[in-house]
Amino acid sequence: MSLPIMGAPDKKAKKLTVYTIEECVKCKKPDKREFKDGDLVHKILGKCKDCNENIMISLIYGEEPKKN
Amino acid sequence: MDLIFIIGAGNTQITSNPILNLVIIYLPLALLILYGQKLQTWLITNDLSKTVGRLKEMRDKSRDETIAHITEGMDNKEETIKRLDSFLEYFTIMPVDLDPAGVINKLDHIMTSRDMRMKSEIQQLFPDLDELKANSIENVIEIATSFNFVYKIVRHFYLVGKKTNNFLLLAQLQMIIPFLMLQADALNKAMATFKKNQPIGDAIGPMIVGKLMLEHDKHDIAVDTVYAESDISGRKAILVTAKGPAGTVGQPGNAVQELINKENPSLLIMIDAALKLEGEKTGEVAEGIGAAIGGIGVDKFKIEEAATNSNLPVYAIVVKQSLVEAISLMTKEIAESVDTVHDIINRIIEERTNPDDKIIIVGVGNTIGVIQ
Repeated sequence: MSLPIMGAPDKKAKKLTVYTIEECVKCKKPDKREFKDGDLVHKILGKCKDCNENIMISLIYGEEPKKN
Repeated sequence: MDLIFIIGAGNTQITSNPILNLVIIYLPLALLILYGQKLQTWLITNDLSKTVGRLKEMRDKSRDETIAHITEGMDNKEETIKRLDSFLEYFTIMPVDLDPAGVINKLDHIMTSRDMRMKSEIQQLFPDLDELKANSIENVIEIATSFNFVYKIVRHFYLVGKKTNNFLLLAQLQMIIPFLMLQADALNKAMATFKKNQPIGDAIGPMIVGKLMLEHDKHDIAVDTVYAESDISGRKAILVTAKGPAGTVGQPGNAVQELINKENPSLLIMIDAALKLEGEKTGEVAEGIGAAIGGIGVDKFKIEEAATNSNLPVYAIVVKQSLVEAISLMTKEIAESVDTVHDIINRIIEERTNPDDKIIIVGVGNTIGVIQ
């Protein structure tokens, strides 16, 4: 008799893709891209093309990839 | 053959043949009465053996991943692997609590010594590592140690139950296994996140307070803990959190105790991740009263005592999440609660304090992947 393994993690659980949200501290324009090694929340990445203020990583999170 | 069902008072028959009736009904009934528990024990043992096997697989995988992470680009791996195996067997002896007076100080001393020893041993093993990588190694080793511990405890009770043929012991283990497997799954997911220095669900407190600290001078106040001063609605806000982006929870207890004595604030606001109940939504924000801080209780005790002595109200804001979510990669729902919590902080400050008051705001949690 083969019983399911008790409490085994849900195999249907979907794998999350890690996204990094970059945002200008002044114009708040967000830009979403996939996570790269070295990304840290609140890290300054450069200057905004529109207003020359700092672009900062505002969030890093995991999300199910959207189906095309 | 004609099957006739005759169900009468005390006379259950399937066929008209009495011998066949005996074989089909009465023999299995007698066997189940006599050997039912043995059969159940066999089924549970069989099931538990698969679970223990799966836990062993997970434990071995976590050890291999830890070795791969810490020996990356290293020539002499053998010595490091030997040291790692001794780390996996590290234990902490809790202080005696027969006389509970002063047990918190003893607990604090033991846990601080444990952390310091771990840090210094890692520094000795890898003297050239930067702080972020050294902390990542420390966290990964702690996960592998927890895995080893969970596996050894489950295996112990499984083997004792099997050896003594103790149905009740095995049944109790069977009942608790789903929760232990959930923890094992959480540790499994945490390993990948800690290796890449990505924020975990528990980092939401430091993330919320860390955002308020940006562009303000940070000062060390306790081990791995910083504070900054800011102005919120005309009040002096003293912001406290663990020092990121390394994975640490710092010592918020010591920091808050010192700040309460030094600054005499009129309000203390604590922000933390809280375990949600099944059915509650991840990322939901809730407000309450009391010290919002987990752990073994040392920091909570210090904060409660300092707040009580100063008659200081303690407000709590929590972001709800499951155990797995708290120690694995932060999800979108949790990350997007930052602005909601900032709005609540502003409302509490405006409603509950007066201009020029001093407020302490503490972001509790592991600050991995978050800069202040």
